[in-house]
Amino acid sequence: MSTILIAGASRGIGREFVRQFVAAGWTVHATARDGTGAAVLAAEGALPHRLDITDDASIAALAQELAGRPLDAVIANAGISGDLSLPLGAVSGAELARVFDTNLFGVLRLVAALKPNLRAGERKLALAMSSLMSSISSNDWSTQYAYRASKTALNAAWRSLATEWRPEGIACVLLRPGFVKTDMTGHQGMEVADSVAGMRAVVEGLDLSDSGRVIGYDGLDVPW
Amino acid sequence: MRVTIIGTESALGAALAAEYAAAGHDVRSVAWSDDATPEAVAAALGNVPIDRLVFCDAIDPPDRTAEAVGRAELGAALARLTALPFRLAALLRGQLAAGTEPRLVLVSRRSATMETEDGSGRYLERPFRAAAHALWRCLSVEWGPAGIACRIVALDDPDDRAAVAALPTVIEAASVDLVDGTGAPLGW
Ligand SMILES: NC(=O)c1ccc[n+]([C@@H]2O[C@H](COP(=O)([O-])OP(=O)(O)OC[C@H]3O[C@@H](n4cnc5c(N)ncnc54)[C@H](OP(=O)(O)O)[C@@H]3O)[C@@H](O)[C@H]2O)c1
Repeated sequence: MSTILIAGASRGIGREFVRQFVAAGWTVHATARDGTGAAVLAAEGALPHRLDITDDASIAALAQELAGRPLDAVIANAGISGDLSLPLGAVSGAELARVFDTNLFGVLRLVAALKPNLRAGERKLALAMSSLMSSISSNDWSTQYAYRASKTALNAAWRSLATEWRPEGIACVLLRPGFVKTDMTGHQGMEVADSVAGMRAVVEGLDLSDSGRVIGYDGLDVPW
Repeated sequence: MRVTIIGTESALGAALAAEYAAAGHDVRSVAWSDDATPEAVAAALGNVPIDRLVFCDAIDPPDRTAEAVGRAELGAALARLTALPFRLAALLRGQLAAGTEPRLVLVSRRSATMETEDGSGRYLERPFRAAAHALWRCLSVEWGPAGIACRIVALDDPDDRAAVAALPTVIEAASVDLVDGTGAPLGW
């Protein structure tokens, strides 16, 4: 039986990943920031953990809880959009730092902290959430400055991670959910169940030859 | 031309400022220091037109493994390589708009582009230069129609003297957002 950790699973896409992996018979570890979220995860059939991805001590505590448990896959799903109402001239260094702290620093440090679990797992999949917003070549309307920059930076970091971990057989892949009805989008876009079903099919088929790719819910690569 | 070079504490920035000065341009140099802020630098530059605003650095951080890279050093790299050029460019929009055929230029590195995968260990540089590329694209989309050309020149090696000497020519000729040190278009 396969085991997965989904980080940032209290709502939205992360929570739907929990539902669908539980339904598919996987053992699912999932994280929330507070007790209410953890209770939701337990009710979905997951093994709940607490995690704030911006807090290194919290990441270390999770790694401690999971020590010795092989993980086939980690999905570092936690992400924030930042303040999307800011025009270009109002995006401060502090706003960039806040968005990157979650979307890049936390995601990278979490996956790195769980490397021993991934090495012990069979599938060895280090996954996180990119976006079409990460694609510079697709950007002909600007906006979402801090969010875009954080997801482009995540792509770059994952390309480097893919090279670093390939010798150990760990595939480092980013997923693109599409435009999905969650709190982040004000509940516009496609149904979260459809997006997650698409990404789950992608995850089922992944192997080391996919490492370094950014793959959509539709199976297509996101252009750089 | 009225040329402002940011980052002349670096050999690259200093050499580029010297190239422009030798060609007879009116050059202002800003050496970046750790306690500087974009707001203070913008205020010190004053409300005068800028024809060419060029961001340089010679930052070459140490390699890290994914397990070893720390949050504080990631934050510092973000501040220097991403937030500084983006924020300062935003603050100097009016001065650029008052310039003659103005160009906003980020001198970056080819190793920050996505097509080459092998960048193992470069966690303190590559993501933040790539993020700056993403933000320069936003600047290009918003400011290009207003006549401010936003360009990135991605060098292979910032210590290559010939490449630095060619930079003013490449900067004038660049007709797409991202070019290499010879002026040839690059993929993101
Ligand atoms: N929705 C889309 O259209 C879309 C498109 C492209 C990419 N994505 C990406 O997909 C991922 C999930 O997005 P979503 O739409 O499901 O967003 P969402 O509904 O806003 O949910 C975000 C999740 O991340 C968690 N989170 C945020 N900050 C955290 C932190 N510091 N520590 C731990 N967990 C944290 C939240 O937990 P709390 O409940 O505790 O806040 C929540 O569970 C994100 O990475 C997002 O960038 C979404």
